[in-house]
Amino acid sequence: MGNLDLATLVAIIRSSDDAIITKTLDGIVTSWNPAAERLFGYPAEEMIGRPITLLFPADRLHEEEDFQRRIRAGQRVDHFETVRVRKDGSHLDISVTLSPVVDAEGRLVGISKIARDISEEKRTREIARRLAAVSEASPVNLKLDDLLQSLLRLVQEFLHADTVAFLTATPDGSAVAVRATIGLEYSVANETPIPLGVGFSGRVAAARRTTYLSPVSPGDVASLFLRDSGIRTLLGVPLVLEDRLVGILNVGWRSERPVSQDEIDLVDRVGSRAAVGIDRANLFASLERTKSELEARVDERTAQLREVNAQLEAFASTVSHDLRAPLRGMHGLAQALVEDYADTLDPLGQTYARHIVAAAERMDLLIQGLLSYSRLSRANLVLSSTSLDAAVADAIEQVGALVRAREGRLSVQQPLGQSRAHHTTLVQVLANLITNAVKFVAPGVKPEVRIWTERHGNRVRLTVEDNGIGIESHHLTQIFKPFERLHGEEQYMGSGIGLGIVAKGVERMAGRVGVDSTPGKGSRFWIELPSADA
Amino acid sequence: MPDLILLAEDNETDVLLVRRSLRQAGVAASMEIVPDGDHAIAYLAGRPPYADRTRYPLPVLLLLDLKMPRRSGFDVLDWLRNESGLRRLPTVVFTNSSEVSDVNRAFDLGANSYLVKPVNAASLSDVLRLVDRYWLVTNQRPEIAPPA
Repeated sequence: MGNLDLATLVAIIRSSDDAIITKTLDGIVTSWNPAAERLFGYPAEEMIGRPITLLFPADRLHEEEDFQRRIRAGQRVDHFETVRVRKDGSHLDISVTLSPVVDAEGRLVGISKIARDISEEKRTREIARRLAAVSEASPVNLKLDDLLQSLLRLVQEFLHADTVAFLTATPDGSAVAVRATIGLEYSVANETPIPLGVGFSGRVAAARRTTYLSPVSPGDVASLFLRDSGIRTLLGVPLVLEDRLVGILNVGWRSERPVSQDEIDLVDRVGSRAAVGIDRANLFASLERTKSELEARVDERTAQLREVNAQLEAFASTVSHDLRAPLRGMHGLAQALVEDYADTLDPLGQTYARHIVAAAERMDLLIQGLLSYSRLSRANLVLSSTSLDAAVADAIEQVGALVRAREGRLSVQQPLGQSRAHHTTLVQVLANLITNAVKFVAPGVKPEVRIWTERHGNRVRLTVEDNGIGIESHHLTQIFKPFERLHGEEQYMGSGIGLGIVAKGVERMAGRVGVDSTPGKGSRFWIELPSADA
Repeated sequence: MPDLILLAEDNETDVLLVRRSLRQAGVAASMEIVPDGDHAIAYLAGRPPYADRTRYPLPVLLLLDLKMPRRSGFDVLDWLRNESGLRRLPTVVFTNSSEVSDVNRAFDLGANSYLVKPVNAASLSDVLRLVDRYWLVTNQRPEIAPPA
């Protein structure tokens, strides 16, 4: 301080924007600078010698006692935010800093107080808080209209506006239409879109520039409602997002008034928030439209598929009925020839008849396989916890005659456990696997079949191992397709559809199927099903 | 007079095979054949050309094919169900179709049994022997009467 003379200090205090006041330890004002006069509305002569508590609202009188106690204790009060009353009775948000004043001997003689007007700062913080609250609430659980209404209220409140309106751009971008208003006796539905370039709103939208107009004359506005509302000052802000005009925000006052840069900034911020909301709502609406279009198409396709399915069902029924009838005629009558006319038919004739019987039997197997396959593809399978032991036992019983005829030996490593499956389908799958295991052995070899299960994570793998002829590796991928045959009819009779049924059945039970094979040694066919507790 | 089985069957080959199998199975009952659903209903109702009940007596069992020209086996079942005197006539569906929807529909319409015709002649005799032993020998017969 030694470098500054008193005159300089006084000049600094007098020119300060902050109120600088000194008072006695008892709170009597001893100095009052011009900023204090401006801030509180009291001239210096009215305050000097009077208690500082004149400025205090009734509910804050206790603050002064507290300040005095802290100063006496040698403490400072730093940036304490509070409220004071001006001479005209209005309230003022201030931040105060209090320090002790000491004389040359170091004795405490008074208190200095610096007060700053923070009403603008508080307002800015409040706007930020309100905008943040609106942002947090949207967009999922806040409808666009609710969002716009809260933004309208915010603008009206902070700018003391008489009318505020959001206009959104029409889909083709050629006009703007009123979407939400506050302060207008207004029916949104009655207002026709305003073309770009027409009236105040149309000009703001076309120029994409923030526009201020005061005084407003009736010819300046296109909207009849706005024209009749007595608005004298208008502020229009374009809402632009990534170079697209989303809409405009109009603020109106019934008085002629200037608009500050702060006010324009606030409207701009509200505008960008609204632009995002409107854009999202438009996007959502177009998504909804696409979704309903897609749903309509899915419905249509489902109906077509249902129709095709019904036709397939009819086809399967026709196959089962119509193809088998003539077949039974051929088979039955050829058999009748063999049995009833053995005396009159010579050996070659009998051979012919026997071949007719065998051919008819093969064709019947093929038709039955086709029917099983198509039924398996169409059936609605309900999966539940199923005993693999019971399924294997049923399958063995079904193919028992074949196993005995081939002198096959089956060994099952019980217990096999449980899996999620459909019993009848599982039995069908297993019967086909066992049939294959027994059937495809080299001439003179007695079939040996082993069945066991292992746990693989949340799946159960059941393996059927045989000592058959095995499968060349380049055939492994095709064997599960229906109607693929690897062997000539003479050698191994079958419909060629057995493994197709296995693959389809396992697929319908949410399982997998596979095979490991060594030609000449045998094959291991396995199926994996979800375990019962998975 | 031996018991009578009425066979409703349009396929003449099937008729031949059924006749042969009944013979092989040693079935004592005699058999009348009608070629479609219309004739089956006419026979059971005693309408021409089956008006003579002495010549065309009521059967003790109806063996009914499903897919026949004019009225089908399903139509016959539907008609029978509404005939108070005849609704109890034991009716065995004897068909090529193993479609579950056909099986269900036949039972829904009151069929007493549903058999799929086997391709193999030996099996056909086996099936018809079973039908004879069960429905004609073992089964307790209900009272049936021609429509008034």
